[in-house]
Amino acid sequence: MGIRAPLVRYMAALAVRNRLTGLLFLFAVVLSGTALILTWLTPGTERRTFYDLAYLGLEFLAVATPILASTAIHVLEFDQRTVWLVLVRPVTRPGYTWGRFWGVTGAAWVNLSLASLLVGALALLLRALPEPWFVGVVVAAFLESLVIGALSCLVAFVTTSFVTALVVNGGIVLLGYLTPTLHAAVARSGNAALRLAGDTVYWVLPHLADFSVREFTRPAEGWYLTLLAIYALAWTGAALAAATAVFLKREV
Amino acid sequence: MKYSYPAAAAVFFAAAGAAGWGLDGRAAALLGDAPGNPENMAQWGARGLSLRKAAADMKWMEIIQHCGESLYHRDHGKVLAKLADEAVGFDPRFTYVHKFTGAMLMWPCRNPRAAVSLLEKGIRDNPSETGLKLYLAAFTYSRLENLRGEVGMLERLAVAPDAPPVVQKILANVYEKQGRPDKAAAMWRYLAKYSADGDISNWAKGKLERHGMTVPQ
Repeated sequence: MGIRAPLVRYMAALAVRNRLTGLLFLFAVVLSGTALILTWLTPGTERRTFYDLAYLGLEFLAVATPILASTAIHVLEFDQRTVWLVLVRPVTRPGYTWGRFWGVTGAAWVNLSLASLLVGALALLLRALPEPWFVGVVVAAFLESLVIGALSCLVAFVTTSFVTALVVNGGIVLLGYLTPTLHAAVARSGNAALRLAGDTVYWVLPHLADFSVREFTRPAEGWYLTLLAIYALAWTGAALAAATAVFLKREV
Repeated sequence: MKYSYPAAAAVFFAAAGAAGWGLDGRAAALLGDAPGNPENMAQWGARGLSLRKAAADMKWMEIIQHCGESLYHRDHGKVLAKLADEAVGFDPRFTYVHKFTGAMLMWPCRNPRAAVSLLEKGIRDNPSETGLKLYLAAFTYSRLENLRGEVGMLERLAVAPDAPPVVQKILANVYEKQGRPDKAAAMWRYLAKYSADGDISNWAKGKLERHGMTVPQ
């Protein structure tokens, strides 16, 4: 398949150097800082307020970084045709797909690692450690960015412009989050067509809400995280295989 | 070696479906939704987008800000009760809201019914939360003239296997204050004989002796 380290580095550099990625990290810093400030406004529940908002920031980064990094690269490569410069070298299309995926996901993981360290440091400042949710939330965020990275790669190869890619990615994320709730709601309705639509969406899209372990009333157990990892890897595999199949047929 | 990418995608997709099916069930259990939740579109959206806790935190901040206004109690806590309902609607496990807002409704707002109703909702959603039961017991006892009907909830809590001894003690006091000596004596006898808390057991024995009743051995 030829996964090439230089290609991964090239893609990661494109993603990390991108202003949008930097802006997102800045947003995560601001959100974590705001979480710390808001603890002053919520006497009695300082820990809860801080962690709720900080974890929300981590999950936001896990979703938004791969999407924005991927669509930003999309502009450069497909709209400005720089993808030709890469493909004239001895790089296979599957190799390119993997390189692109790991580059984008790597950039998201750099952002997530920095943000997780920041949350940990701020928690120390607040003397709010240890927090049993922390490890589960960080692991789930990394896994979620893996899935989103692969899906955004597929979307980039299917769509033809930056705007379409952004809209389709946004739609997938929105429906992916709403899917379990939507499915439960339509399952109660008597309308067969509605139930069929709900079932279809349920089986076709990833259930991103399952990655929100921060919302649980109890910390996620090890086996839940293991199953989540299997789920994330299966979705990543499916999306990357589909992306490769599409890219093999696409004219650039 | 030649790869068949569509076939690989199909295999991975099937694996994702199987894992997702197991994952959803466990996630629903770990979310620990209270019965009847979500009740409206806002709660539905917050749940669907995994924003329940953050939405409840925002409402909690609104509650605190509202309580910071000088005349917040003028409407007998009408607005406060609504805000608390919204906050615990988003996250029924946020028991600090039940306790704080319950106390504010009870004392400064002088609205014991709204306070008790909020606490009862909290107890239904969090049956293992002892603090809420103690609050309810204390509220009911201190405002007995307004809350005669709410003793029923206290009675149910007092006979539960994990009933806090303090709740049972307060129920005995409620019976005594209401002029129901038979029921009070039954509680004292039960506490004197079975309470694991030595202080409460001695207190119940003292009550029985003071009323000239036989103390169980």
